[in-house]
Amino acid sequence: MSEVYVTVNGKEKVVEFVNGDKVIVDGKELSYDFSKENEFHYFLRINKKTFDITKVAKDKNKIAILTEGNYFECNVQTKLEKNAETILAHSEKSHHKEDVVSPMPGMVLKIQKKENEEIAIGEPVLILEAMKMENEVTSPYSGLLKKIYVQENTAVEKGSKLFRIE
Amino acid sequence: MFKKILIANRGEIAVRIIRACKELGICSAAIYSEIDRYSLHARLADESYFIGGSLPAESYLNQNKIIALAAEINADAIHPGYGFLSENASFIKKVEESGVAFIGPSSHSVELMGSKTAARTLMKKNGVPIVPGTTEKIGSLSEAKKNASEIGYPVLLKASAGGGGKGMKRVFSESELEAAFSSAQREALKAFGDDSIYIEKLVEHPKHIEVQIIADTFGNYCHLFERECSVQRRHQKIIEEAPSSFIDEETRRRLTTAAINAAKACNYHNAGTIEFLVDKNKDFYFLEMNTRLQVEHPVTEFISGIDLVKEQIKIASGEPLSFAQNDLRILGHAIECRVYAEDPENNFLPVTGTIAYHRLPSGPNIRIDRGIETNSEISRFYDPLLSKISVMEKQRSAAIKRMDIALNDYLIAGIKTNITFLKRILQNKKFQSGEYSINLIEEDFLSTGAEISIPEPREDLEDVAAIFSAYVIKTLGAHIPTNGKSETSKWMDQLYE
Repeated sequence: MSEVYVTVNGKEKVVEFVNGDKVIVDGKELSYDFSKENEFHYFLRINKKTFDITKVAKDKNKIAILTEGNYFECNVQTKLEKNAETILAHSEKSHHKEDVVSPMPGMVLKIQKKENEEIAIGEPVLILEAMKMENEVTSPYSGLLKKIYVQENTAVEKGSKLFRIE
Repeated sequence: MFKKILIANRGEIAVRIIRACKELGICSAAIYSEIDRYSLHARLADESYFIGGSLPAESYLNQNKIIALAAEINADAIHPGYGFLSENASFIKKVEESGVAFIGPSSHSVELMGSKTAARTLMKKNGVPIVPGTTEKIGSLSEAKKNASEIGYPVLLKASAGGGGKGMKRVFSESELEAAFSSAQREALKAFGDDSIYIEKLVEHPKHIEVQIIADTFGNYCHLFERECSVQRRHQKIIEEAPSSFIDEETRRRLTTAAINAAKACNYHNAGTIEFLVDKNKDFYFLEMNTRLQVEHPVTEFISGIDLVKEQIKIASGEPLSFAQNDLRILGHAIECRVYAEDPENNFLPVTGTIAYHRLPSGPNIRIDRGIETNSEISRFYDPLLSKISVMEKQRSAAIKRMDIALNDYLIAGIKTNITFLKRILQNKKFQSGEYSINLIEEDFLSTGAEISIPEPREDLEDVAAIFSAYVIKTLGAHIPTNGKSETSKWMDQLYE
């Protein structure tokens, strides 16, 4: 079977399944056995040790798991997908043009910046209230605050567009 | 003794109180909001009543509805839990006037201690040391500026009616004051319906140590030792323990004496907690009194052997305390971790969703308090606290180890939690040595260049994660053998043969 590229919390590992019970991880050969308890709980035996794995969330090629109290966010790609992504990344401009979305449902309490203001990475743009606490939403990029999509004292859902940085 | 208790709360604390009622042979009556229709607390109680919409104001904060319900169902008493109406003096007064017993202190005590500024004045008068600062509320920004510069920066803005970190802001210089003042006022107004703010000197690098007290209506006052709750983020406690490894016998004697004096000063009865800041010289200052059961009460129950909720119920029904101060010994070292639905990698924002799967840790001296299970919905309406894990051992180091293993065994899917973050704290050298202050999280985990706290990556687990994800996503995801299921059906078939 062909190699699969997995980033585990940002760290890349190469995984290749051989036969039905052997796997090679970064050149190390391990024996494995796999079992599914239910949709969210799996057992993976590596050599002699068994790990309980919880599938916390899954979205296309991304998966978040919890095992022995450790969270891992993994992104899985075949060689082909990885190459395609590298080419795309080079063709894009170096700076971001992106909409920032609300990380949770809540209420926009206060907007601290104006449209067309220059903004630095990590600078607070607005205050979102959820679960009775005020949370600052900061800009993930430096750039121009091109557009603010929301108004003060309005409710937003998780994933709603808040503002755009270019 | 009471025959029926109405529990005016939800989640893990409602479940905790229902258990105490069952053990005392008292009928428990739960209330539930729209979204909590089939929540654990609503199902465990002997009776459960729909109270209103999912917004707290329509349900768990709806004073008149709750009081009317208590009368309608012939409840003898109301237990408020923590949060919601537990420290609302006007609610307690209405309960008292309705003829139903309130499981907690009198509205008078709550009112005295509820205003943080009045409490500070009262403590000062009764010889309990307080943090330097204002004892009056601050009405305007200019007044705040004047007071802050008199006290000297850094200062702390606090909600007069507050608690739980809401409406609390640290200010290091005058330039930060305006934004912090208006934000504190807004938070205070939202959380407590009162935007009064006062200013205290920020005690630098203190520990948060609190004393559990309990008193009956016959004037018997006891303390159940101290808890240390210095592991906090934005004044929200994350890990609590009892006793504090920082406190020697002499300091404990002074601290618990001050706590009992504080309780006596407001004619207190039932369970309560006096919070102190303790500086590096073991000098301590009164912070506030929580006139209710605390979230972290399990660690005190572990080390004292006393069931605080049962004692609360007995006291409210007119019985004396079931023990005397001399009966109490510290039985071990207990630690509690609060498992929150939040994302530590994304500024600890609360996470909402459905718990797709939930398996609890188990073992000797491991206690779980929870209001959730598989398929529970975590909504934006309520606190993101999912469960509390508490452990006890003879030695603190062994208790830390036991907690670490318990966290390994806790499986939860569908919702991101702070479990890994809790483990990182347990592995932190300062935490393990006991030499840390309430700034631990900020200094060692959140500030830039705080790499010291990042534990060695577990390469075996990284490999497991890589193999698992590759397997599920790219190879045989659709054909994973399901454990034992086919055998079960064969075995079932055999039964009919």
